[in-house]
This record gives sequence, structure tokens and C-alpha cells, in this order.
Amino acid sequence: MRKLPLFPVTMVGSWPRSNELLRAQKLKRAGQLSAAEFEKLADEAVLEVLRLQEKAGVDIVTDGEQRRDNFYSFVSEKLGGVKLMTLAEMLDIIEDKEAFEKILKTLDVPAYSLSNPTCVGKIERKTPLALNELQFLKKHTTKPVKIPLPGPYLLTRAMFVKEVTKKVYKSKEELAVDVVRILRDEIRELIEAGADFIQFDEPVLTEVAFSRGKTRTFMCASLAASGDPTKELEFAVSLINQVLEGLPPVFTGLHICRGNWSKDESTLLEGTYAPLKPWLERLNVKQLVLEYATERAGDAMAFGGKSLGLGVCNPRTDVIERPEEIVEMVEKALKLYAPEQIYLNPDCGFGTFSNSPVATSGIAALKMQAIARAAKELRKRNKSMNRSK
Amino acid sequence: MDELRFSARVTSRPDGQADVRVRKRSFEVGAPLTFDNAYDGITAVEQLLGSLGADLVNGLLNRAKKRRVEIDSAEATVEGELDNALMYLDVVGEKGTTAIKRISVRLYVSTFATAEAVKAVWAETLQRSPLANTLKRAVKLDISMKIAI
Ligand SMILES: [Zn+2]
Repeated sequence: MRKLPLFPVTMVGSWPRSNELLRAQKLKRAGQLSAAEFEKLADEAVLEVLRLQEKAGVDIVTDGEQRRDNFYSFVSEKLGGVKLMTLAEMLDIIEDKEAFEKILKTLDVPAYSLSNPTCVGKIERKTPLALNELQFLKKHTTKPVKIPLPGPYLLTRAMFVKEVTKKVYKSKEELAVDVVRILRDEIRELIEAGADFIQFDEPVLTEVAFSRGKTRTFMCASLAASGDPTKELEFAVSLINQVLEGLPPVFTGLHICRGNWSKDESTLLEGTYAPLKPWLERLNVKQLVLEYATERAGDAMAFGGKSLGLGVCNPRTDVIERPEEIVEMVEKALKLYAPEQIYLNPDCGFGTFSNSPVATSGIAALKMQAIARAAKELRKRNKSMNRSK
Repeated sequence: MDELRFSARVTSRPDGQADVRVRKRSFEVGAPLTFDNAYDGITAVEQLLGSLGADLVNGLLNRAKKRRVEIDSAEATVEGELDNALMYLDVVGEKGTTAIKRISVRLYVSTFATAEAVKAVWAETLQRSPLANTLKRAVKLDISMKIAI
């Protein structure tokens, strides 16, 4: 990656979309707006999000996932063999309807509002997943760029809906072979095009670890789990490492969190990273991008040599964290990490699901400004040390 | 006045279902109610809950169209609770009735319109709903609405 200041400020991914863009997204889905027309509007939205990040003092920018419906279902537009299905449609085909009903009741959302990329045929990459996002950003900023990608475990779990997928793939392991291949192709192209930071989003890992005995709320992605957390975590680690094996060097991260669908913290999962630690340490990524601003995540811990994307603000609250609070959090983490190992980010995206963002654009901007202000102060305090890269 | 009267003809079938004929359409309904998740039919109680939901969902959308309030989609979940289900099963010594004592409806609306506009249309919908107005005389009827994008 290009030279960065100490405590680089970055995003996890998403930024709330404007109503205009959401409307355009809906029209596109209904076939009333062409893809080209939508992309034109999305270009404008990305430029605005980019301007807001640069103004706030973000060092590694994203495109705010403005072109995506959410962080993983967007792949249905890019992959052959994958169909975006609303939960309402899925209720017609899946056996375990009650589990779905429970999820919907817990989330308090209508079935048509959640969509799942469902594997209905042999999957293939019709167009790159995120290469266009990277190329557009590169044209419009000189800052390093982070590209968030749905991880292979999330994609496999979400796309494998046995009632329809089994006609094509006998098991999720078999589907995963193609998922890994597709992600490897994507990443190779992203590296070639100059991606500075590639982040895998694997939020379902926390669901595997923390949701035993609770109503599962992780959308549809949770339903194909084997029920044995150890087996699931092994599967996830092996997939992520297969994706990265032997690829040209690039800065990689893994983001996990305990859910970002509601401002009601009590509906989100809870638990420290301790039960996940043995698996997280075996991942061949350079950084773990973790939430820590919420108490539900417990205290900071070190993970064998990995750097830390430290979550220092909660995207779901309207209160803006004070820079002093953020500095204090980082000082705590500095007991476990060297200064050059710590990046600063919010706990998660500000608009993970386009139709139910957890923050407004204004609040997102203020939160990123607060992080940048804290970073400035921290750089001052750690100025004496030389940045070794 | 004849316009105030509506009718259905319900004819039994050997398989335990009944054919319901209304105007030029027909549909089938099964047992009054069931406790068996695998029961292969739509019970009369489920029909009633579904009818109430449809009354509100479609009522809202029709009314919104009239008032030029743009609503993309709506969905309702309707839950009914019997006073005493055991009475239906003829359990000896049980007291109470088989009546539905409570129905709760949660209605979701997706819209870019203002909350005020949607709430106004929703209030009108409730005022004009044939089923909600009938049922609220007979059961505890809780109805709530949530607006999303
Ligand atoms: Zn997250």
C-alpha cells in the first residue's frame, strides 16, 4: 500500500444512500431504469461520498457501496446462476418456513424487504464484482482505496438454498469450490487495477459463534449452517485461505461484526472475540477489522501478528463520539499493538442495507471527522516514533 | 338495498375441503382450524386472518393511489389467539370458548412519501376497513404500522 500516516482513518464500507439513489435502485430492479442510467446516478453519489470522506479526513476511502443494494446481495447482478430472491419468494420454496418467520418477526421487517442471492444454476462471473467500483474511485481520488468484498463463507452460506441449489451443487462444499475460484479471479483483477486494501466481509462468523440457542437473525445466510460451530469455522477459514493462496501481495483484511441491521442494540449478537480467536489467527489476512465501540464486543485482544482495524465509533447511535474518547480507546489498544498496527474505523458500515441505513449521511460525516481528529492527536503523541513499513 | 349484501355458496366435498363460490370465482377452504403443521389445507381461521390482512394491505394501497401518495409495497402479519384451544379439542373439564380473543396486525409500508401523508392514508384505511371494523366489535384487535423505505 502507498505510504500512510500513523493511525490511518478508514471506513468499513457503506455510506447511507440518498433517497434519489434508493428510488433509482428500485426503478432499476423494476426494469424501469436502465443499468447505464443507474450507474450515471451512482457515479454522482459516489463522488459526493468521496468528497465527504476527503473533507472529513479519511485516509483510505471506499465508494460507500453506493452501487450495491447491500454488501453481498449485489453479486446476483454480476454472477450467472444466481437469482436475487426476496424472503417472500423464498417462503414459497423452503421447507423450514417457521425459522424464516421467526427471523422476520425478530427483525420486525416485511418479507419483501430482505433479499438473498440464491444459487439456482452453475455460478459464473458474468462481469467483475467490484472492479468497476475500484476503477471509478481511482479516476477520482489520489487516496488509497479499500474494496470490501463479501467473503467466500458468507457467499456460500447465503447462496446455498438446498431446495433449489441441490439440483446444481450437491453440497455447499461443492458450491464453495466455484465461489473460491470466482473470488480469486476477482482479486487478481483488483490487484492488477491497483486496489490498496481488499476487505472480506464475513459477519456470519459471529452468528456461528454467538447465536446458539437464540433466534437467528442473520438474514437467510444463517439457515444452511451445519449446526456444529467448530466445523463451520474450519470451513470458513479454509475457504478464505484458499481464496488468498498464492495471489500477488496486497493488503487484506477481514471484517466481522455482530449485526448492523437495527439501532436496537438488544436485537444484535453479543460476545467477545475469544471463542473465534484460534480461527481468526489462522486466517492469511493482514488485518482484522473489528467492532469495539459497542460493549457487546468485549475488550481488545491481540491476534497473533495481525494488525487491527479498530472500531472506534458506533454507526448506530446518533451521539457523535468525542475525539478524546476515541484517543482513550486507542491508548488502550496500544498496550497490545504497536502504533503502526492500528487503523481506525467505525464498527461497521453506516448503511449496510440500502433500504434500512443505521445512520444519516450527516451523522456518518461527523463520526468520520471525530475519528480523523482523534487520529491527528494520536499522531502528535506518537510523532517521536519512526514509521517503519 | 341489494348493493349492501354479499354472498358466498359453500359446498362440502368428500375430501374434507369445501368449495366456496363467490360471483364468478371460487376457492377452497379446509377444516375450521388445525394444530397440525402438516395439515394440507387452508383452515377457516387462517382464511379469516388472511382476509383481514388483505383488507388492510389492499385497502391501503388503493386508498394511497386515490390520494396520490406513492406506496411501493405493503405487507401485513396477522396473528390470532384463541380463548381456549382445548375446548376445540373437546378436552374434558375445560372452560372458556373457542372464540378468537385477540388478533394483532403488524403492517409494513415501503414508501418515499412523508410519514404524515402515509399516516393520513392509513387512518382513512382503518376507518373504511369492513373487516377491521367488524372484528374490533368482537375481539381485542391490535393494529400497528411501520414505515420503511
Ligand atoms: Zn459489520
